[in-house]
Amino acid sequence: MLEQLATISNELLLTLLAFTVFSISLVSLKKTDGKAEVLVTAGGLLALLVLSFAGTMPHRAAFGDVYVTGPVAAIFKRLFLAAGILMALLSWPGKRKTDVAPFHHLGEYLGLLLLSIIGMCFLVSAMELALLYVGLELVTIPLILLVAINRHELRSAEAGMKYVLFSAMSSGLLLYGLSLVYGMAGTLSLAGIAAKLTWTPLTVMALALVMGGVGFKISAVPFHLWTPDTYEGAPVPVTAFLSVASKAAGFALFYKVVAGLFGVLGPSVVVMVSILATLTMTFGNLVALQQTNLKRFLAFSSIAQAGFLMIGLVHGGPLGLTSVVFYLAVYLFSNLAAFGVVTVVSAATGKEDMRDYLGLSESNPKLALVMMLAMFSLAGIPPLAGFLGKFYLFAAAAEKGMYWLVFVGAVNATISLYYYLIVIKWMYLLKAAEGRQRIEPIEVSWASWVVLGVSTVAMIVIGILPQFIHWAEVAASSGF
Amino acid sequence: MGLLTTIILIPLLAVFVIVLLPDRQKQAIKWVALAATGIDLGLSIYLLVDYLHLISGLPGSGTSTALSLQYVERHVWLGRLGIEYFLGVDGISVLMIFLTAVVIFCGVCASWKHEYRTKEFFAFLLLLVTGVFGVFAAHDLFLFFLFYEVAVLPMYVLIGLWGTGPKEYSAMKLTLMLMGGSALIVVGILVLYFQAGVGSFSMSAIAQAKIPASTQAWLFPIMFFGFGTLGGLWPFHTWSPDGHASAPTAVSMLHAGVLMKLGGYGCLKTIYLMPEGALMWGTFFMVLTTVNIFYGALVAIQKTDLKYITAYSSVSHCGLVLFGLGTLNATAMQGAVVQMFAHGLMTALFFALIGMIYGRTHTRYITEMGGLFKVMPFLGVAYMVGGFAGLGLPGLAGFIAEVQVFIGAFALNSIGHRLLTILVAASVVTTAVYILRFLTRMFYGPLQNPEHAKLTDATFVERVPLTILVFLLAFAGMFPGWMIRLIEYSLAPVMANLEQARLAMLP
Repeated sequence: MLEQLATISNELLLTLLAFTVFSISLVSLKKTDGKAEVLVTAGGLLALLVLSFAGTMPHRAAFGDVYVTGPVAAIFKRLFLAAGILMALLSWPGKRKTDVAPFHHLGEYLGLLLLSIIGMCFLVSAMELALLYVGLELVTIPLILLVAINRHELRSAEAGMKYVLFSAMSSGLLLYGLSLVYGMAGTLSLAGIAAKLTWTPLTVMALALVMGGVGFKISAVPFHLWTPDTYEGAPVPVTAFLSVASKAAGFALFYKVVAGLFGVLGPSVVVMVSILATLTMTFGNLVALQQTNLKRFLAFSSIAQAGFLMIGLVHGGPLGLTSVVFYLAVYLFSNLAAFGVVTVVSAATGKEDMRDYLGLSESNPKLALVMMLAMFSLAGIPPLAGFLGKFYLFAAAAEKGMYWLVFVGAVNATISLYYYLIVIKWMYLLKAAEGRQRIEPIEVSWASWVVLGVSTVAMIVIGILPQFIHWAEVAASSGF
Repeated sequence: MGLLTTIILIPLLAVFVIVLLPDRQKQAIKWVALAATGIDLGLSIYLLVDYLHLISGLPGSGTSTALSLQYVERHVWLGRLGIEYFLGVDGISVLMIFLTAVVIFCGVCASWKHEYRTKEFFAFLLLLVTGVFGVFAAHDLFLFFLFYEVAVLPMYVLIGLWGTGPKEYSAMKLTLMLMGGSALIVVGILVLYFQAGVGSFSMSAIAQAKIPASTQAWLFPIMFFGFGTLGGLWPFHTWSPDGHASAPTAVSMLHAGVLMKLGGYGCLKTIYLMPEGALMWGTFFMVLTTVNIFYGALVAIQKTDLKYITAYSSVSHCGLVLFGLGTLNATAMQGAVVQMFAHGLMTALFFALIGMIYGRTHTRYITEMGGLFKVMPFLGVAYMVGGFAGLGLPGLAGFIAEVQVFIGAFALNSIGHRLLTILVAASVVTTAVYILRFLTRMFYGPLQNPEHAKLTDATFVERVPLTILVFLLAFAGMFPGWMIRLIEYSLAPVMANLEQARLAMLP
């Protein structure tokens, strides 16, 4: 029993941390300013990240093979922890004009974040449908609360509402698909199901339902409708977290249920995923072209990025998994860097429109530089990590012989470059004209600098040093 | 650390130094840039001389003996796909590295008066150069492509921020068209890699692996168009006039002088990798480039803005590069590479001069100039030399290039090819028309604008780059032997591949 518990020590410690954070504001006599909660959360997560290399994520099956932390799952968990740390730091309560995060509820806010991370950790380790589903709900429910946590703000409430409705809908689809699968296979274990499925119309229907359900989670077109409004209305750090960690979890789920269960359907899965990828990339890109609100802009950019990621899913083998895991890591840091800048600027000035970033390169050269690197990394420009990431995704499709998909991806990368360059245009090229003023110098807290610094270094280092892609490859060759 | 890595890293190091310097230290920033490019120029001269020394021992005509890569640095780099940090040069790369070093050194000299946001300007400029050196030195296709994109992207900010005219539009058009081209290239690289199946991105390994002819048949035009976009291939040349006209002096020099050569260089590599595809498509691209040559020259005749004239003449001259490559004939391809070198020098010279003249007269329209010889004889003579090189006057580098291309192309054994060659050779006349027209308009006759009488001739800092460029144009024109030897040996493997493919395609 003890050994079994040791297997999930990472999750147990996370739970402990979550309740510690919840209770800080309860036990302190005065009203807290939130700094203690942020420090405890970030510090705790950092400690867990360090401990994960010292054995809190043993590669061992537990609870009757329901729970397994394989090498890929371990990478995912570390990404979740890293995203948690950075998001907690982004919520640091400094001097600010608008509340990016609710100060008086910082304890609850960060506690919910931790609960969601626990859900993600269970999700990537689950080897059985019931646990998988419970994990998924544990991810989603705290996120719904987080999205709506600025409850006096109409936008936030609306965002929360949309997120609830669409999550419920997608969970329904997913459950329906999974119940069909259970009916056909008679077991809940993923490995057991994969062995028993055969090609029947019912299997294809189950696949379609499951893909629809998971499609919502990763905001694939045409299941993306909640994304822009939810991203715009949620507090910026929550949006950042939604766009990276929750999306990474969605891709883990996608890989587990689609590639894991429906391997027998081979070509049908490939066709469906590649069509979904093409639609998602193209639609995300075309709509992103017209956005000026940076949160909406990043929402559509993240839809397009999900499309790129799906290119890697087309390849069921190790190269595909490598490319997806690696790109998720790259995307996480690049997107966090972008959202970091948006959070800082939004907190200090209340501005979220890219036209307000006029002259940022002169008044705040460092912020502009970070944003530029983030845009280039997302667009896949070397030597930033996004380049190697995209190259691997394309390589995965090319190994499958799907050259047309590589071509579609490459063309979409060029289109995406256009709107990423527009952000750079506002920051660097355009000069103040009548009616538009330059953005004023912004004071950035140390916590935000940590986030921006870590993400920037990660964006550069991951694409150049061979260790990172090597980790992904070694992990992917032994699977989840 | 090897010589090639040093050449690549020095500008990058200078970027970091410049970023750390405070914004006010404009002089210091310029000196750092000048020092970095000066060291690189020295190193590239050493590389050139050393390489020439190396081949001096080889037997006379190099077409039969292939010379392997030199200065190889090869380290396993990223992942299991076999991506390597693999540098190595042949004679053509050496020549191009030398050209790059010359042009950027002259470019920095020509930007000596730069004032607005100097720090960022030189940082981006040197970053760009790092990429260019990298492309010419790389032998691994992944690394090649990585440097290629590094060389293209800083252009967006460089043109958009320091340019003139409709600069944001030009910058965006240029960047997107070139990145569209590189989208084709990345597809090409991946298809080549997986079809070759040798688990390596090394160009020579892929070339030896024999890509199936059926793949080459569709992949060759994709890659050729991809690189051709940067090489100014009609109808994908439209970024070039707008981009070059809007760019600041040093950037135009570098872009027209060196970056367009990346396109030609890439096309040459495409031929090397896919000889059968080249044989299938060579004539098609010869026709397209004929349009290039004429179209560029005819539009240049109508323009009055100096930058547009030079930009369109670049389209025309770079068309000759691609035309020479498309013939797949050893002599003509040699001429094409010489043309890359010659055009690099003369366009850099043109754009430097335009920058200097604009700095004085504040106009770029030839209709508003006249009789400038009287007030700026030095600039005038330099412009003359550049112009004569452009129209292919014997004794200057352009002549060596054109003659070889024409001779080689005419040697092709079909009426159609010969007609094309005659047509292209006739374009020399249209070129002469616009070059002589703007030279007379600007420099001869009475001083058109009395204000211009007060203008001064070139300063010392300005004379340095002009002298270097004029000297090299004349030197390469009068003593082309060393250049031909460099190219001859390096074309040998390409020609051998083509010969094999020709035999394989015989029924």
